Amino acid sequence: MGTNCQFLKKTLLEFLGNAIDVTETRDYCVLTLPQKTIDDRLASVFVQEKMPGFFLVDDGGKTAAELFAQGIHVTDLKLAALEELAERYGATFVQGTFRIGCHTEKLNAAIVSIGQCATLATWYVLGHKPRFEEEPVLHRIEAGMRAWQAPYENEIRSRVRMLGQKMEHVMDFVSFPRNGHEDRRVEQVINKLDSRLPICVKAVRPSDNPLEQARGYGFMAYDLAKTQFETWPRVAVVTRADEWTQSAMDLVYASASIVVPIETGEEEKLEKLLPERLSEVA
Amino acid sequence: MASNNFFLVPQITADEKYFDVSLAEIVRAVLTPAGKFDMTEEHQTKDEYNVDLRVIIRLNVNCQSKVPEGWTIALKLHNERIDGVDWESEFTAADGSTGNGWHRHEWNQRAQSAKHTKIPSPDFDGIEGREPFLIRALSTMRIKLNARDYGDQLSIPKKDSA
Repeated sequence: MGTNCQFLKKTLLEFLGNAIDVTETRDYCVLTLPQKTIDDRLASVFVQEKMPGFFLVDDGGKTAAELFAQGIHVTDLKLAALEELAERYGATFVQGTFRIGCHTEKLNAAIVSIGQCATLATWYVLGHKPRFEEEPVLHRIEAGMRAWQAPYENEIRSRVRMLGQKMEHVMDFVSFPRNGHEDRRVEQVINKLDSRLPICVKAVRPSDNPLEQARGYGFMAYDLAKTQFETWPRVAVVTRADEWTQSAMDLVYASASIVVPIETGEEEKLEKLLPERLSEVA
Repeated sequence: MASNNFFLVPQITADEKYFDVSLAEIVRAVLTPAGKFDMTEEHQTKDEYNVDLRVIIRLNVNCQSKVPEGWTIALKLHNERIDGVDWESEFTAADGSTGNGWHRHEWNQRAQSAKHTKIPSPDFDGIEGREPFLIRALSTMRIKLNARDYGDQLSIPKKDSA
């Protein structure tokens, strides 16, 4: 017995007709298509008639936002792949949104294309795994700083805010020299004569992009130049040092007075290592 | 040593979490063309035996989309979402019913994921602005921010006119 092709088509059309949902929101429609994304969502396509007969069809930025929410950060490489994917389906991927502008006669094709982009772009979730390597280090840094036998009386303060030329920066810890003189005027005179400077310590984590983190640290150094904080020695505690690229690490070395690289799993050494390094800059 | 701290998620979600950033700073970040905010903090919590433990948590906000339906907020541990709010036109809620629109992602300890446990959040219906979205989402997720915004103290130094 042969397959009834027309019957198949009829039932599929019925299925698609029942499965496609449409919601009217503000000045656009949201179509929910039956195709599921790889992260198990129904693909949503946003359609807005910008002028009579001309439509903007997009995914509302949902695909990129969902990837971001699920721990998949769009790197330059992923961005290029998403742009390529969009191009294959006659769309663009700009500012995190798959989009097609079209006239009425191409509207249905555009809706299907955006649905496909929204579905295929979630392919990245397949390779996503939780990352267990990151260890809290701030308490170890603090313990290391408190264990340090400074050659002078000092006071450790956490979360010290520093106003740069263009931005505010936060140092995780600063060791301030303290002479403890009761008379504030005498203390000020001693401070002027004393060349000891506060020492700043900041944890620098690689996050998703070590070079970006290094640039952030470098910008902080640049922004603090020509301010009262310029001369304060800076200690960068670089975590998961084994994951950094050489260029990223070089940038941190160029921006800090001293770098304390800590490899994954060796965070415990910090409490012993930091006092030794602090003595070098004190 | 690196360890799996997912067993702490119920406690972390119940805790008040603090991020040293102002709401205005987050709004400024999500209003840029990139539309994203990303911050990591160390959070101190307790395990079931009342022992202090520290974990690294991450707050990710994406408000790049022009439409609120494209906005997401997520709290992550080990780069995995453990709590969050977003929108789907249609989804299967945690109780098996069909939901529409805004929902909160709740952690499922057995699956070690918050991907599939979705709790409808009608409180978010009708939200139009990024700031109200953030205020509501942060409050829902028990995330506290720094009340002080230092951004207004900063200015680009003027060049001498001479």
